[in-house]
Amino acid sequence: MKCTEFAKQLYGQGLGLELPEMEAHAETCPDCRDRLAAERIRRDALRRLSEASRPAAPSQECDHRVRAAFAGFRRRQKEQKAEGLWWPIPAKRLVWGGAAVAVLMLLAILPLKLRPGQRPATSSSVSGPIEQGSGALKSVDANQEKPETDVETATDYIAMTPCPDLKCLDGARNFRVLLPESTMSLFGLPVSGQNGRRQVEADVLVGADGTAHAIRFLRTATVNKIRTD
Amino acid sequence: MDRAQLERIRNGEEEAFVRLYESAKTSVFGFALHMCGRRDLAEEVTQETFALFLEQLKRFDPDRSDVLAYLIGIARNRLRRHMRRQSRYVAFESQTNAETSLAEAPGRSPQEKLLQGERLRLVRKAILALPEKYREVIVLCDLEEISYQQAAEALGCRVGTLRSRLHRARELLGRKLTACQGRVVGLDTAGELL
Repeated sequence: MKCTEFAKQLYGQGLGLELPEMEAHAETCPDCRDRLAAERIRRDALRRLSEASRPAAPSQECDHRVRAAFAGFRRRQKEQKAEGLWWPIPAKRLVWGGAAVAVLMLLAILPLKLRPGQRPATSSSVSGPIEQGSGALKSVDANQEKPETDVETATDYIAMTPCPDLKCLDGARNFRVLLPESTMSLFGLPVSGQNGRRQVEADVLVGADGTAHAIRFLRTATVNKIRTD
Repeated sequence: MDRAQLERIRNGEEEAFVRLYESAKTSVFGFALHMCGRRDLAEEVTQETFALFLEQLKRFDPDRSDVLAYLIGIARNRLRRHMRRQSRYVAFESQTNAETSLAEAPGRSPQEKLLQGERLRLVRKAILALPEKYREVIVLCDLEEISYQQAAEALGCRVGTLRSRLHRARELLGRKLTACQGRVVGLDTAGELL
């Protein structure tokens, strides 16, 4: 028998220690002899400890507290049933409910997210409202019917001079200017980098002393406009 | 525990719950007691375990997991939380009621009673000195004598992992107890540890 087999046998589940092969190996191997002696001590010690600890039962006070916890549980169950509620909601219901909410949200958000050029062909090709006028039916282009609106988004104002109490802004005037897009990078804002000559709009707050105190950059998007180019 | 009993507990039948509690409380309490070495903490953990089980009753599926393993898993987590708070292990009580009754068995001399108490204290100390992952397997498999399958489920590991941990834990504990032997030999004239 090898030492590894001996150890496997020694610490295996509920195996005896009196096997002749083990005894024979232990006689020839001092390490395994020590292991065998230690294992005998361990088994005997745990057996005695197990006997001494039985029955390891909690006190009556603990029993009472657990029963009280169950009484609380039963009361809550009754209350929930009385209210017609069943909590926790079954997982299936939660999943289906969540899915329904997600679909509704998608339906609500999707039209806003779609750019005019990406609109499905059906929406733009549908004939517009039919006007009844000079005796003949006249089809009106949808582009003419829907007003174009510019939606402006802007950054916050970025201070250009130290002005903690904002008194410097008394009597300040706002000027809208066109600046190279690269100006945005001076204020730590991201630039597209696609076209070096691209210009962006900006609002500059100029104080009464003629100093520019703050700036914000704008982006204008046109919605409800179908591109013709 | 079968599905019918679980359903009865869910419906608030105390008898069904008491039957479960009576069948599992010894193992849960024994596990907690041997793991922390304190009776008061073990009782607190036992109580919390069953209270939490009731709260999580919806999640438990008797077809997929064993109730005892599930309860011991809860007890293990609660115990860890308590231990983290205290951030250290404390010494075992000097004597539990069971030990006292054993030591006071008729026919034992005062010297034998003292020796018996000292032996048990040393064994408990050796178990508590084991690293947590080894102590868990010794307590579950050797002291509480639950099956490898249940123990593995309670500890959230595979049976193979449990076996290898148990192998190492038994070896370590054997060494520790052998080292303790000398101290008891001084007390015991027969020179036998236990």
